[in-house]
Amino acid sequence: MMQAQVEITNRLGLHARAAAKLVHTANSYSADIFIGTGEEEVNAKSILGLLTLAATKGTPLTVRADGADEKGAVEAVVALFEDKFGEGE
Amino acid sequence: MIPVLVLTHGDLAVALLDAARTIDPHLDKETGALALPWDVDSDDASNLLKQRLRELDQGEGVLILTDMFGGTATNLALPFLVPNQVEIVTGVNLPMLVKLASIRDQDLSLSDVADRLTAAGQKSIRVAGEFLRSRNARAS
Repeated sequence: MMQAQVEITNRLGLHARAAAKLVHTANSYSADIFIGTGEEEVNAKSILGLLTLAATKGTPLTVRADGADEKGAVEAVVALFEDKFGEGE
Repeated sequence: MIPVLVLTHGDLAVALLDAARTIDPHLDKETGALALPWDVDSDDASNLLKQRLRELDQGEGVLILTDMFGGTATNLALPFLVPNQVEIVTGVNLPMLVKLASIRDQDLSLSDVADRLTAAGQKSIRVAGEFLRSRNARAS
């Protein structure tokens, strides 16, 4: 299992368009990938699950992956957060 | 992937699909919208629908998402219902289309797509206040 901590830094938080990008990134890996807030954890391949996190700017999140390509999966998800989902703010 | 047609009266189908594509551009050309004018003749509407279904069908069937069970758009689609070829799910909403975009890469059957979208649509209707209260109660 691989795990990493990230923080949402884009202004709108983990909103629908960002969640859609996250799902497509997650879907390109075979590993099971989860995003957690500490209180709850959801499947990163489920857009409606991600939206129920209602994660706003500044929320610390845990990215966890389990499977053959778990390392690449965690790195790709972390890169998305660091890139602010390509939103530039 | 199973092609999907959003079918409503008024401009709802087009607006819903536009909104979903803005959220997730992965909703490809295999997803279509047919918005029927309120005063459309039912034979004309039926012909339009038949034509769109033919265009979309790649041999694995087509899923039609309509606005409301019992509504004209649904009633118009009912004669096209064929087991394993054409299925209809009523009560289309934005979360269903966003879900559809996220499962586009998966190899799912017509009935699987219908079931997944139905579950997504139903699950996404919530009283937000109750949802947040139950979450806060769990957290404390």
